[in-house]
Amino acid sequence: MDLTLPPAFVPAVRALSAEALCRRCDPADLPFETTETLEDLPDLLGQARAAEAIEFGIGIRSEGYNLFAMGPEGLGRRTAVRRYLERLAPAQAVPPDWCYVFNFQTPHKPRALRLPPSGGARLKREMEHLVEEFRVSIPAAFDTDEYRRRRQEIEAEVTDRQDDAIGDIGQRAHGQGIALLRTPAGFGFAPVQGEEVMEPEAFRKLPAEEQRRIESGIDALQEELRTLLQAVPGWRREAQKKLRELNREVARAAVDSAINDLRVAYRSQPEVDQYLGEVQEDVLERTEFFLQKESEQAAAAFAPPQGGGDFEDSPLRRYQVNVVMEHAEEAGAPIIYEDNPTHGNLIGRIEHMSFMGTLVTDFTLIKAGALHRANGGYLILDAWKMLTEPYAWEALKRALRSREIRIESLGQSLSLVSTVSLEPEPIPLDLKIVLIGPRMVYYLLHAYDPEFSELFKVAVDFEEEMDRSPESDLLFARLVATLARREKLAPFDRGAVMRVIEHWSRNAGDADKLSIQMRGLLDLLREADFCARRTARAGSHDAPKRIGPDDVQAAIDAAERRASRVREKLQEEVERGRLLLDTSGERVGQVNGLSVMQLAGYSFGHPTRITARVRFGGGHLIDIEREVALGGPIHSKGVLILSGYLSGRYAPNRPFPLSASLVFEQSYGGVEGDSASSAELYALLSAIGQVPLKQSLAVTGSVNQHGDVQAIGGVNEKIEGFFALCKARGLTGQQGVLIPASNVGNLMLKREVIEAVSQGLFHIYPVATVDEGMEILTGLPAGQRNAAGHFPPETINARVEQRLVDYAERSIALTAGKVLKRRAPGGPAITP
Amino acid sequence: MTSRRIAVRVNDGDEAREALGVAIRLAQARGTEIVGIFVEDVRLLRWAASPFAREIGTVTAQPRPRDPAAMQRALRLLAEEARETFARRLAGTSVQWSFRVVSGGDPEALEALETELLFVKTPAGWRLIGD
Repeated sequence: MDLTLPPAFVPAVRALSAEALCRRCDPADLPFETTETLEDLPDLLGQARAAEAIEFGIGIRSEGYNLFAMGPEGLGRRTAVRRYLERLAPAQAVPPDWCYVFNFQTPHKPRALRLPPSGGARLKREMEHLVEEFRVSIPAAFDTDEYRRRRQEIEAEVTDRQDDAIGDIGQRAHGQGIALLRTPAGFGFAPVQGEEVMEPEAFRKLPAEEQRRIESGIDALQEELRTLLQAVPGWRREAQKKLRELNREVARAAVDSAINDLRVAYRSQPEVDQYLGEVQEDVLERTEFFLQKESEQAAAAFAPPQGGGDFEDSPLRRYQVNVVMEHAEEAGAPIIYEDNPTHGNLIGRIEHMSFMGTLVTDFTLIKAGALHRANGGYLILDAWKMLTEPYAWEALKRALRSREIRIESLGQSLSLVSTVSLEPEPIPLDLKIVLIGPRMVYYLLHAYDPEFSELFKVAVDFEEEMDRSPESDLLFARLVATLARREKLAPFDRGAVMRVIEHWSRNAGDADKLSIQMRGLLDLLREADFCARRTARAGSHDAPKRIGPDDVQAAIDAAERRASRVREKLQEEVERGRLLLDTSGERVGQVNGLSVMQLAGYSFGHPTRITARVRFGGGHLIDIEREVALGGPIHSKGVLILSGYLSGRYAPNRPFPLSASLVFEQSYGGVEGDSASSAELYALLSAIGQVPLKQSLAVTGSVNQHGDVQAIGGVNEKIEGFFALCKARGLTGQQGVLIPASNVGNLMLKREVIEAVSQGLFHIYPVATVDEGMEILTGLPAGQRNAAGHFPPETINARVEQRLVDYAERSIALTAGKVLKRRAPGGPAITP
Repeated sequence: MTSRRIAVRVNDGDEAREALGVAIRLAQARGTEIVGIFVEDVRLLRWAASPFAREIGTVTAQPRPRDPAAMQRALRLLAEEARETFARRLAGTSVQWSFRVVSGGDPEALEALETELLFVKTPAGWRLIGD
């Protein structure tokens, strides 16, 4: 009799060694004491593709080659683009200045003048001086003897002509015994007697014939005088015309001498010369204003216009120069970042001012937008802000398509306002736009906006991580050095840099990668500096000479502590027994699954109990999460894959009359992802084969229909989540986590987990198949089909298949009974 | 005879304006009072009562009938206007002044002028009659 016990089954998969759980930095790869001795990193780290795209996009001058820098927040896209442009822009030409001036032909359409850099301010100054000159020289020209004499001559001419004509009539009247009288408002005729006007009585006593003669004489004289007086306004008009010509002649002498030098200076710029010519003519038309007393001028000269473009009340505003874009003392092409890309901030606006109770405007109130400021250079915009500002995106596209900046208010462009307003002449546009935004925005725009791909042809796709190697570790150390110097932080010693690299590799979720998330890295460095300073203060030192690994770790721990309230609450619920989770013992149809929760950038793993129940039934696998709409589509897909696996693997030639239900116990929120599908399958196989599973283990990994365990995300957080629970309850040495073998490369676990593993208190099992996982969870062999197509007895698979075969036979028997019953009604029914 | 007042005609017209300016300077120099005289043209009143009283407007060039009452009113308004202008001219000076309307057909009024120095323009220039 053989009394020896059968040897205990040892699963094929062995737990990982502590060394495999984290890829440490090799101090030999970082040959420096502190980052003080490292050189700055001039280029983008790990962004070769993005750098190449920026260089291409900026270099190519063809239309539509604007850039879209895409990637998640915090990668340093804006800084990278800006730094590249700052290297390039100084060598490029300074763009011209642009001014708006009055349009003398069409006042509501101000003219745009292009001037060389800093020429705008010069023209403005010169025009101000010119107007001052007009105000002095024009009155001076009119305050001369020559002008006064010639004016008097013109005025006297008309007066004399009138007096002579009237005097002539008076003379002739006198010859007929009639006097011409000057009345308060005109003239009258009266017969005279001697030297006096004849009394009415005396007239009545005259013979009738004499009376008629006098009357007809008076009538004829009246008619003659009337004709004469009617001609007088015409004579006055003639005199006025002569006077105007005289004024113009005198003013021209003053204006020409003042403006001619300026016109000569701008002869090489025909547009400016033409404008000055128009100013010259306009001033001649408005000499009256310059001849007003100074106090009257001052009151009206610079008042805003009243009404739409009526400049009658502000005669001198029309000679102002509005320098909308000035490039004085600038070197190279402009680089503009518009933080608030509203419609007005982008294309410019026409402002109004309150005057006499109304809002008025003119060309001096035209304000430049970001497109003006960046014209001839580069404009960086945030895509998301741009798209959320009403009509800003449409305005930007319109400007890029037409290659000109047309300033119009939203009211005008939407045809909501029909009041007279300004239509400034468009300014030619030549610039590169760099939009910065998330990838989703880029792809959505590409898909839904047909113009987008025409206008933004260069995608600058920023990487989130880079390959990790000894060389890249050293480059990363130089990046730390660069940032520390830039932020005026204390230098990081080698140990601190190693800790930063390891933590940043963990952030990448991959031992072979390094995250290049700049914002987070900068935060970590600043926080480590803060911790070091706090420690130095506590030790009565002035400031830390260097930042060590403990400072970095303190910063990491503090950040986690700040964010971990929810994680701690969840674990507390488990420890107090309100969330049911076992970390020891065995149970059929129950397994510890692992999920990851993400809250405001902080991720943590948390175990969840997954259970399965089975019975003979109609072949339906019920996913309770899905039934109650708590399961997402990917989760549902994972569960349906289980059906495929079961029906393909076990009793393939028989019916599949299994009813099963699966649930995430005590889960009241949504469940998404398929990383729990292996755990669900283990629970299901346990329930079918009635094989208990070890509750000291937790499981993560998705499965396919062939039973291969596939990689999942967040493996570090999941392991640490179960570890934290086990540690709180006391590590037994039996506890551990099953992870997909393909996730081993992602392991960058915390030190406490690694220490527990090295002491044999916790285990990480890399499994490649469901069979491997079941063996670890049950301590039984999974079993492979032999030559006869059967699983060996007492294996897991044999138990599972046997149960399914039993169900299938019952199903067949039941179906046969129904057939018999149909054939022999009234006969005994066959029951299974 | 320096205490006698200087009388000057203030009917509308360039000549009257010029006369007033000279008379003011004269009155300041002599320290005497100045009298503004507005002479009503009696011929106009007589004409307004005649059947030919049709006034042809300087601007409108249209004849319109006039009557003595309307003419009287028009002359009164002219006199008032002349008084205001006279007062304005003298407002800024220290010269004492008075104003009088004289009818060309009023012998008493003309007689009163005899007690004053009459400032008129003669072919030889401005003269003070009665000095």
